[in-house]
Parts: sequence; C-alpha cells; structure tokens
Amino acid sequence: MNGILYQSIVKEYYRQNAIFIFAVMMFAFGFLRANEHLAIINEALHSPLVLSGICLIWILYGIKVTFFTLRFLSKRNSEFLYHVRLFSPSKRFFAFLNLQFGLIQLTFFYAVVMIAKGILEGAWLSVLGIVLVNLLILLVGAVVYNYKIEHPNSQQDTLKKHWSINIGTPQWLFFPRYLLAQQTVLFFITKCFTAFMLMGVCYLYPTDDYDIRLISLGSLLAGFSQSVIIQNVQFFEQFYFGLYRNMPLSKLNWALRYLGMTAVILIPEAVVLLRNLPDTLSVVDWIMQVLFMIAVTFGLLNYQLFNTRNNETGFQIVFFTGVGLALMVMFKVPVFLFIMTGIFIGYGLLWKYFYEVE
Amino acid sequence: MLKIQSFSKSYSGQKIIEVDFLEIPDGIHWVKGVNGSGKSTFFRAIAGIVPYEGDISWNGIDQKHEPIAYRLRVNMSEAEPLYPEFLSGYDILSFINKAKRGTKEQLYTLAERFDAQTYWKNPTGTYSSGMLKKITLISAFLGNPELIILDEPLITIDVRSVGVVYSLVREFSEERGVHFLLSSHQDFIFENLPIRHFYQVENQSIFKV
Repeated sequence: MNGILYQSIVKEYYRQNAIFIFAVMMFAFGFLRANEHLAIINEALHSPLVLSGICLIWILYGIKVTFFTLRFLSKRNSEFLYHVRLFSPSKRFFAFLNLQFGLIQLTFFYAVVMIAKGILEGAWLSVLGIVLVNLLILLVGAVVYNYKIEHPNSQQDTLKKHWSINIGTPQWLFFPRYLLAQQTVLFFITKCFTAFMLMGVCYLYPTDDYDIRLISLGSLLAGFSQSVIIQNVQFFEQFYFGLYRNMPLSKLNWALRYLGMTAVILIPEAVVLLRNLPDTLSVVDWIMQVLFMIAVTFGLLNYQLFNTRNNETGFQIVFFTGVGLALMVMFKVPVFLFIMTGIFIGYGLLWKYFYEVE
Repeated sequence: MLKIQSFSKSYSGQKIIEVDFLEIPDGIHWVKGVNGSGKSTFFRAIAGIVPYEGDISWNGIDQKHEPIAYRLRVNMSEAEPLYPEFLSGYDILSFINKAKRGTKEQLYTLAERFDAQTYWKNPTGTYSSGMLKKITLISAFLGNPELIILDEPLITIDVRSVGVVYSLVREFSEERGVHFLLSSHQDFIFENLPIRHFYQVENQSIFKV
C-alpha cells in the first residue's frame, strides 16, 4: 500500500510542483546564505513570535499538500486508490501518515535542522513546539485522507451540488481561476514577493532624492516576477485547450484576451502600489506604472508562450532583456515608450507564432 | 471539398503521417485506423489545432492564409477531451459558441438533445467520461460549420446518446449540407449512416479503401 501511494501521489506531487519547489529552493538557498539561515533559526528558537511565523508557513504548506492529495483522490483516474479501504484501519492510517510524511519533506527537513539546533542550545520548549506542529500536520493529513477514502466521490459530489454556486466564467478568466484553484501557493508566494518589493520601493522613495525611476524599477521587477506564473499559462493551454487553435478568432482578439488576463493577474500589484504610492506621485503616475507592469508581463507572456527556442536560451534572453530594460529605465527612457514597446512586441510574437506552437 | 497537399506531420523528428496529395469529396466519410496510427493527429491538423508542413484547404479556403474563415467552417470534437476540473461544461461551451458565432438557442437545443443541461453547470471534475464526451460532441455542432470532424464520437457514451449522434449527423448532412469526417477503430459502427468513402490511416499515410 505504501508503494502504490508513493508512486501515484507523492511522485506526482513533486512532478507537478517541480517549478514551485525550485522557486522555494532558489529563494531559500539563493537569496539567503547558510549563516543567515542559522540566524533565523536561532531567532526562532528564542522568540515565540518568529517560531509561530515559521510554524504558520509549515501549516500552510501542510494544507497545500493535503489539498493536493484530496484533489488527486477526487479524480476519476484515481478511483483505484479507493481499494486501500480494504486494508485494516491501523494499516491504512500508518500508510496515510507515511504518505503525508513523503509530501512534507520540504518543510520537515528544515524542522529537523531546527530541532537539532534547539537540542544543542537546550531550547526544549521550542523543540517540543516544532515536534508537536509537525506531528499535527502528519496526523491531520492522515485523518483527512482516511475520511476521504471512507466517503467516495459519488457521495461528495452529491454534497457539492448543494453548496456549489455556478458563476459563468469568461474565457480570459479561465487561467486566473486555474491559478487560484490549482496553483494557490505559487500565486500567493509570487504576490507576496512583488507586494513586499513594491512596498519597499515606495517606502524608500521619500527617504532620499529618488525620482519615478525607482518606482519604475519596482514595476519592471514586478512584471518579470510573473515569469513562473506565465510558465503555467503555457502548460494550461497545451494540456487543456488545444482547441483554442480551432477557434475562429482574430489574433487581435486573442491579444486583447491575453491583455485582459494579464491585467487580472496583476490586480494585487496594482492595489499594493496604489495603497503605498508616495505622496508626491499622482494617479497618472500610478496608471502609467500599472500599464508598464501589464506591458512587461504581456511581452513576457507572449515570449514564453510562443518561445520556440530551448528553455535555457529562453531564460538567458529573458534575463538579459530584464537587465537591458533596467538600464534603460536608469537612463530615463520614458515609461510610455516601454508600454508601447512591450505591447507591440507581445502582439508581434503572438501574430507570428500563434498557430505555430503545440 | 477538403484538399490536402504536401502534408507532413512529425513529432521530435518521428514522422507521424505524410500525404502528398489527397482530395476528400463532400459527404460523410469514415477514417479508419488502429490506435496510434495518426488519425487524431491528422484530424487535429485539419482542424488547425496542431502545426504541420504543407497545405490544407476547405472549398478553396486555405487554412494558413484565411485562418478565421477556415475555422468558422471546420469544427472538431476530440476523442478524449480533457478540461480543467473547476470549469463547467457550460463555461467551455459558451466560449466556443461565441467564438464559432453560434446562437444561445442553438447551444441550449444541442445541450437538451444530449441531455447535458442537467449537469453542464457543474464543474467538469464531477463528470463521468461519457458526460465529458457529450460536451465535446456538442461543441462540434456549434456555429455554422461546413465540415465537422468527429474523432471516435461513439466511445464512452450511452446507447441513447449514440442515437443522438446518428440523428444529428443525418440531420446536419441532409438539411444543412454539412460534411463529416468520422473515425473509429472499430468496424461496422457507423452502419446506420450513409458513408460515402472509407479511408485508412496506416504506415504513416492515408489512402482511400
């Protein structure tokens, strides 16, 4: 039973979340150095507030993996897994504990390091807290999976009919809905990063003799930060919507749909920027910055969506384009030129490659 | 008439299907081929879903040069449809109906005929494979198509729905002059329809039998 759960769920989880895990690893080990991790762990072991923050992240991650498993078990092609109900309750429960353990390796590894350091420093209360939180994540997962297996799909779907409200979804919201429904953590992390970054440049702005270029650099980085989200657009369309290419819609119509979708994805950034906009800047400046983010993301989206090169070359081009644009911002190239160019390039790529990709 | 010239489709250097020249006349045609023979790839190329080398035109309208006019006339239902589980069949069909310039009345009538209106506003994640199949079948009849491609239209649906497919194909063919390309890897399954020609997809090629 352990083998089949591992092969079908754990492996699939890591396969589907490779980009997310890569992004977390990049953030954890790319931006933070080892001594900085030790400083954070040290702080957490002696500050209940910091420790609570870290535990909250673990719990959120636990919720993510639990939801993944629940979604997986709801699929038609996972129905064979309902045979695990034939095993004894205790065997089944331990198998689910093992399943949850396999899924939380990303946070569990960090917890082990924290426990080891806590033991060395004699921070027994913190160690106990860490152990209890991890046990809780394991136990809750196992209980939830057991409940799910004991209540098969047909029963749950009947319940869903009573609770679900159908609000028609226009096509340009298909992907934003996918993002919220199936890539929640990726969406949340990206938006947290861009929100903190935009807040940072807005707070920095009045502290010295900065001008709008500082905010433009923030907007540029916010646009480029959507890169991983955009990779999911490619997957989403190729996996579910090959039929888009059979639709009798003009390329301009598709471009407007992608622009609408991009604008929806960037709503959190637009709100954060508006809320934190320095007093000396006007609403027109805010509109121009939002349009700048949309244009950058739109250009990037069409590049990644219709990129016919290999990924490595593609990422190099994205990286150096970002550096080039940042330099142009520093050299006071007007924002409206970036907006026009981003949209023009995005549309040009769509026009040339729309029917060429698969 | 569907005209295919210098057509070839490969994946990762592996040739899937190649056609020097083929004209498929008006009427209902049955394309046969074993699993993996390239039938679906061929259909998807005709529908404009996958890129390919060569030229495909429908009644003189070239797919590459007049993409919108061509796609208004050529519809397709996929063999094994896959939709995001959080969207409803209604969401997907509404989009296709709008793009294909169909009317709301047409959409609701088709849904009623397939008995899909009882479930189509629920998320597709709750559908059985037969329910999903009905959604893709409905999508093929939307708008004002002149050629409808139905890839394995009879798999996974119940006997009643098989009857609906037969009657719709007959009706669209006789009353609206719509032409059909149907596929099945099983024999004698379209015996109730006036099949004009049979085509076989085999050895990376397609020929009339």
